[in-house]
Amino acid sequence: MLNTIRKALLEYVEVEEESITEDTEILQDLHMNSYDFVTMVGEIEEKFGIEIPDEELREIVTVGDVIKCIKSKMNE
Amino acid sequence: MHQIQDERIKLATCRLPEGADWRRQHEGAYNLLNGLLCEQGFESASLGELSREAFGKPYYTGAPKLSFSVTHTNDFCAAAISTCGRLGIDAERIRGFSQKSAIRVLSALELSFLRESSAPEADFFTLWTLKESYSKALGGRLLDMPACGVVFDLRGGKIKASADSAFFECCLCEDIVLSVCLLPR
Repeated sequence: MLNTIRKALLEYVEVEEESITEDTEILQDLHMNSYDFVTMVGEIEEKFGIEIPDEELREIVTVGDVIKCIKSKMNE
Repeated sequence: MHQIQDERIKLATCRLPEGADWRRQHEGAYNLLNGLLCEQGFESASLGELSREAFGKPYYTGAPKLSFSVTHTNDFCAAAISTCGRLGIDAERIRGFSQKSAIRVLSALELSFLRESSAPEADFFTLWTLKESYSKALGGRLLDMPACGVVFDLRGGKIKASADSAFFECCLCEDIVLSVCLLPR
């Protein structure tokens, strides 16, 4: 799962793949802008066949949060 | 250099060499801010420290009436200051956009406007940056936009917003759209 999210992020930010961990903060550490973040989340939703509502999107800070959110949606 | 018509707002913009990384863009925007502050007579000693409000909006501890905002995208940087209210600015390069992102952040009125637009990419990023500028003026996180609930009507080439007290202005800088929001005191 981490590798999938890394690949999704690398479409938008230029960093070393290995530097992205579950603790990486998407906006703060990767300097991703909000449009790219919302668009990336849309792509993840399509890939995993899930929907992440706005209230949950706003709670996402780290890469680990994205993974946790996907896993929780897939178990619903 | 692009001008904002409203005298309450001082704006500076610049282009960096192509390929400038995030750090250089960030420095570029803050260099513009420092230039504006100097030009408007703010001395660095009296500004105090750069601090952040609870939801991240930066401010100078020694100048509580000064509001500022910076933005950068690709090689474009901008900074703006005002002493008349809370300020937010945002810029995006005009390009193809994700319909899914549009559906997530735009209202029914805005989506309808976009469907009929002859320049949907420019209009989408105008709406996006307007919402972001409003969110930044409020001081919230960028991703709090849907919670802001402001709806824009761009029909007739004018910006009408559901947030009555807010002032908005947009300008095009080649392939970049820049939006400014001032929430007057």
